[in-house]
Amino acid sequence: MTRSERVRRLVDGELDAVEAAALRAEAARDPALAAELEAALDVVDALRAAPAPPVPDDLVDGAVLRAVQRAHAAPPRRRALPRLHLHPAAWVGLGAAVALALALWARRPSAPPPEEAAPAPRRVEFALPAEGARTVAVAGDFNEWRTDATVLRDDDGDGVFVGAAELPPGSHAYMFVVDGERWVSDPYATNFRDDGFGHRNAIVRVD
Amino acid sequence: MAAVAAALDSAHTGGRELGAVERRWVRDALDGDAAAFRLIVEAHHRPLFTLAARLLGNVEDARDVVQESFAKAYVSLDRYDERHRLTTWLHRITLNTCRDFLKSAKRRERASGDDPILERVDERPGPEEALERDRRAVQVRRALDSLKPSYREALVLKDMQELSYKEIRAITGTPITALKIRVVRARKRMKRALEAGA
Repeated sequence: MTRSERVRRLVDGELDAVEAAALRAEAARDPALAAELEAALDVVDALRAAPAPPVPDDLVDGAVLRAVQRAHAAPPRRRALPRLHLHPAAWVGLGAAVALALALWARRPSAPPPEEAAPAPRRVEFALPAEGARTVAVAGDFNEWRTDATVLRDDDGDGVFVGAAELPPGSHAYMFVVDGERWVSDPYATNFRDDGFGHRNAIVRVD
Repeated sequence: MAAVAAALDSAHTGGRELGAVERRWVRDALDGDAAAFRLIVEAHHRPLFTLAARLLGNVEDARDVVQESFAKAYVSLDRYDERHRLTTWLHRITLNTCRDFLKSAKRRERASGDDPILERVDERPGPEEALERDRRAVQVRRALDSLKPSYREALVLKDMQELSYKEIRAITGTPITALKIRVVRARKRMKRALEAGA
């Protein structure tokens, strides 16, 4: 885990008391860590101390008025429910048909018990800071370690590549592949497993 | 406001109960009941206004954007998915409206005649303390304005609005790990900007 990530966890209250004390003790011995921690705390303090602007008195009235005027031009759409316009006699026929259908349904042979549904895959998101990289992909046991199956993107150009994959329940090992050839462990993962080739695969658990 | 307070009290303000009250407001508003929509506005306008004001740095622009956001919400209420929190949906609309506003010419037109958000703060203390606080507030505002929009958004949502990463994820759609990376970077840039403006 990077130093910056450890600092962030402390500042954001994600460390328990023991972990926080250990990091502070380490910062007392490491000036670079201490400086980074102090800088992050300064910024958060300054932002939290910034006063909230008072809400204008006419905000609510203006919002409702604008909404109503807008709706006048394009009324809010009710969630569509089908409406039947039938002759009264047709309603009697429809009622009889429904009653017959219900009676037949009640007499149906009992269906075999449904098979246990397979656990649904869940969407797992991945992100890696990789400024200057041309491509970043995730390779793992869920995509047979292919380096072109789950490609991450950096749409806003800030050097952080993000993407997602649908993973079945269970533990999955993965690594990032930068520029098609450099294998990188996930610096933000909390669980790892040695791959036997000198790398550490990150582990993600899907419940 | 009293109606909102009464409704929230009667709902015991528990998450599920409040959700049920809000769903009823949404359904009534969909039936054309403007009073029900007003209850939604009264219940949600404060955090949305604060968010917009902090992102835009101007209370007049923030009022305009929040009113526009509620108007958009009203005419698209049928698209609100009741399985999600109403506040998340409204935050998403407001954030997107803020982003559009920042890209718009309107922003540039008003830029010269801004009334800085922090000239209007409640509960001013004594003169010296108030001066120091205003000076610091202006520094923070300028530093925030110097950041690129994605960093400003990250700091406003996380450190000023004090939303959880999960909430920010729901509002922005950005993966949590990417948000954490962005917050770390944004805090570093903010620190440099504050030092440069000190």
